[in-house]
Amino acid sequence: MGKDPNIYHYIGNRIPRTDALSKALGTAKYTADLKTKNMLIGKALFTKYPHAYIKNIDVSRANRIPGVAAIITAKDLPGSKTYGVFAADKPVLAENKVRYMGDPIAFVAAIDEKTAIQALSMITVDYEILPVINDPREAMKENSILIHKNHPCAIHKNIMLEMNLTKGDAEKAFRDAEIIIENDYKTPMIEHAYLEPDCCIAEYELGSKSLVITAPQQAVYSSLGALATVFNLPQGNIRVISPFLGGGFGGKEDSCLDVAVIAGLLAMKTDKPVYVELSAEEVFRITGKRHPAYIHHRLAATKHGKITGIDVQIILDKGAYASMSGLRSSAHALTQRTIMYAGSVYSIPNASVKAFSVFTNNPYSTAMRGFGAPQVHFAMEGQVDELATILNVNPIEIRRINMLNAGDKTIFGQEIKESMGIGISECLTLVEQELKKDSLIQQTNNSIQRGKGIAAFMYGIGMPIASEGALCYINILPDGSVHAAVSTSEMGQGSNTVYAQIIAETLHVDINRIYISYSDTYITPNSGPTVASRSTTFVGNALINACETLINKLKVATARHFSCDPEEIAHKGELYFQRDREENSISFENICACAKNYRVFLNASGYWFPPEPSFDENGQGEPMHAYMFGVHGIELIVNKKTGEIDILKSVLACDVGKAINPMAVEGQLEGGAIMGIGWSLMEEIIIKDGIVVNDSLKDFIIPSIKDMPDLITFIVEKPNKAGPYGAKGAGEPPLIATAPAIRSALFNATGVWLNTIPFTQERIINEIKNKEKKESVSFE
Amino acid sequence: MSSFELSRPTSLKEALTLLDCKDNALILNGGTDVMVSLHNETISSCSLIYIHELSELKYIKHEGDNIVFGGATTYKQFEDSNLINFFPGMAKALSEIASPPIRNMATLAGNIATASPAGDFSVMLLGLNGEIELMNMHGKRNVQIKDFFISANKSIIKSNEIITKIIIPNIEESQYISYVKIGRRKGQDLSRVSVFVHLSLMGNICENIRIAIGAVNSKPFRSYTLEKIMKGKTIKQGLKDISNIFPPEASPRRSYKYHIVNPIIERTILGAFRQSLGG
Repeated sequence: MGKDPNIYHYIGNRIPRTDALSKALGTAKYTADLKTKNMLIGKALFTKYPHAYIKNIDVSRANRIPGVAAIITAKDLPGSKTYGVFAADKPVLAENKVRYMGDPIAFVAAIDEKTAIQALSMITVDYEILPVINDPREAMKENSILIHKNHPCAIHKNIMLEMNLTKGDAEKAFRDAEIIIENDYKTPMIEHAYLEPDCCIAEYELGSKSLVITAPQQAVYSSLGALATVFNLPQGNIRVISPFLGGGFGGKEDSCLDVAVIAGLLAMKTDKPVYVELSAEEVFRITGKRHPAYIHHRLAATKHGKITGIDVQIILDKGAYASMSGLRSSAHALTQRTIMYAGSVYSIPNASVKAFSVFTNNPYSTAMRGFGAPQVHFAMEGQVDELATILNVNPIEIRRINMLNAGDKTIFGQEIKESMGIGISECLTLVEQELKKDSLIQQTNNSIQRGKGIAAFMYGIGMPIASEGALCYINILPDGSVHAAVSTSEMGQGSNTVYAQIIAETLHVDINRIYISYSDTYITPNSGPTVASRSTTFVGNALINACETLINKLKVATARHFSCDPEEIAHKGELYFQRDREENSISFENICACAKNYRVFLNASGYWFPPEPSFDENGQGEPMHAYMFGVHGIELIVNKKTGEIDILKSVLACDVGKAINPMAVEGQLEGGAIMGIGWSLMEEIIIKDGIVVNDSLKDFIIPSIKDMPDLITFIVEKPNKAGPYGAKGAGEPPLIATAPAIRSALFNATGVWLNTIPFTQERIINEIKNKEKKESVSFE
Repeated sequence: MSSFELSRPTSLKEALTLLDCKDNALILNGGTDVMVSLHNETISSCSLIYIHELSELKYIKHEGDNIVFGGATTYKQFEDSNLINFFPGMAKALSEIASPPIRNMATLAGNIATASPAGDFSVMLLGLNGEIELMNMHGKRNVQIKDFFISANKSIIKSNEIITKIIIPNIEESQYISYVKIGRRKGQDLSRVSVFVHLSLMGNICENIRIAIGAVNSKPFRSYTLEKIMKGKTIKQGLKDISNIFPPEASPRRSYKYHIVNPIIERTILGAFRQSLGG
């Protein structure tokens, strides 16, 4: 799709965000801004123990407190007792058993927060405490205590899911291998650390039995589906709205449900509006986390550096509930991505990959930027680096030897075609050149060493499921305002601006005419969730589709105006005219004003479905229509005596197909790089006996402004023929290869490999000391 | 959040009287620790006495051989004061503390009164050989900072006393200071180890040195042993002689701290020494 790039008016322009002024002025409305004084405050009593049977719940004393409007326990539920986006396995209210610290036992609505908290303290619960399992490797054992007795999807005891990928003959590849590299990798559980805590306003109208749920979330239609059964209302009677989000990063795909069930049920019970907001500590303890992964990785290669096979076992800590990986169909969401990307960007003839998603008593693992890809890229890119070191080959060169080229197949059997856009090689070149330049270092000292490293990544656009597609509406108003409606959430990524650019370009109108309504199930159609780096491509294509319909309608109205055939009408910019009689011309604005007189409504819906995805039981198929590629380069200094790391420079090149708005893409690349640095160096949820120990932003640290390196980004544009103006996406990929790039640079600086994230000062010092010990032993 | 009653005295005298007569009284002097503790309910309901805006306690001035700070002086005031130029290296040291919003609120005296083992200014004041003035409604007393701390979050301060003054001897010519703290990230984090050095040089000979160490023991402390070894030697020789001696005064809780104490001391001494070289 598209035309000569030289004549674009809006595509590729650095247009300021449409929401920038409101956000800069502080006038943009977030959910908490919509709270009013007449609302009741809703709170949940969460379990005291991570794993226990509930013997008795007594709310009688709490009920007597003046100011308490309602108390709900499991026996009061009007509809489904469980919920979830994919698998309805999470109890709305725990009745007999609790499985992690986020399981609620009672909901309370009161006139204010103080009263609600007081009421919670008056509820008594008797528990029978059960042993706690925090490690999925323990939970997998045959004799392990069961976390779910009758889980709707679990395949065997605590194992929720097992997925396999088989390509070629991995066993033979290892028999014939000249080099085998075998390692264990571990990645931590982390919190999304969005600034806006999860919150929700629920308003119920008794007469029509209609419920309005306003909450920051990434997928209003998924929420609608999940919530309707809980409220026992038809989907048409529930309106789900997401105002601006103060950050989401995947977490608000389902954490919004955890607060929406509290607010919604209390509003229905009291017939009053209810506001619920989790405290920052509750967000840490209750909401979803990035899946921790334990990866055993074997790599087979020739002595010339050609990778001939991989054999990978991935164990994912599922936490207590299925969340984003509970689909029992050909697609298994996050678990599927871990097997797909276990081979990173390389053409590998033989692969055997096995992934398990295992229940524990930890907070449920959910979507987080990268959706399983960062974990497995860490392992694979790590292996490739070790191969380069063993063979004494440049890390860039080893990647060139093995990378996917047009016509090659991924480990999941999909041919990577030129028409998808394949920018790996360009990204490697750009990062290599930039990384050659040394940053100036102020301090020099024998113990301070400089290191450089790189890693590559790939990531598919959209979800590999049959229902993946996007719908939008566009309506043109009589004054020429163009109003588009999409269900995409605006969470800081700038999708509304990108949509305005695509509409203005396609409809040939001034961008100031474009207005976007977003994420409201009564106003906006189902464009799909705001996930999977899909919005630009999927919703963008749907908008183009609608614009094409509108241009035809505008031509029909113009033709009727000049009493000619629509075929004779052409347009240039905002001018519509009769091709052979150019004096018969009318402006866009004027035709909008009179179109209805010619019995034309200037409205359209637009949609887009990608080619139908496939993925068989051997992990082979064509799950996504196109992939983003990229390379991350890191230059750092490390103090070998203290383990302090100073990231000097982050060089990130990403093939995004086409940057509709380069400024927004750079924002994603820079934000992703720093988020990746946080994951690599410092972030880790510490769990002790099922309890999150570091449940605040003081104890769970994320990078501060002083931790920001020089951020250099390169946008590579290898067009995706199926994307809008060649675009792919940009949201998630930027952090996928940060950790392996830092690992590579750390090795370059110190000679030690770190296989566990985060690379804390202790871990670095321990590895260095271990190495020194080993070396001194070998000298003896 | 714990409940509290708030009093806003308009004079030091009134503050001291309130402090003396109220049960569970607690000074609110910036609130960067107290508010967190109230929020976490690690302190129970109390009566807060807000002294942060008492002009009697908000000053920095020269007094003879000393610089004197009022008990409600914030880090921000110190950073903005011309008198900071009397402490070469101090501006950089202060910039290591927390974040600008916190330095706008937090006070020097508050940091000392909290008596955290990792308190940045506590370590600095120990290295500067400072003194504090404590006052209650009956009178006042002066205490050397080295005699102030007892253990983690415990000091000799009495429940009816306010830190009214912080007194720091002037930094003379050929005296240099330096502060290094290691956190899990580069800013806005508690120290894992912090070191403050006050170095008196004669040429390149260490005439005298004070080495104060934070976040290692239950209270900030000085390593008199290492100070003694350094004394009278060239910096180069002194650093060599202390390089393998873990300060006997230190009792690190974790092995990581054990590994990094000496490198951080060396870095801090070098930081002070480099200033003598004009860099």
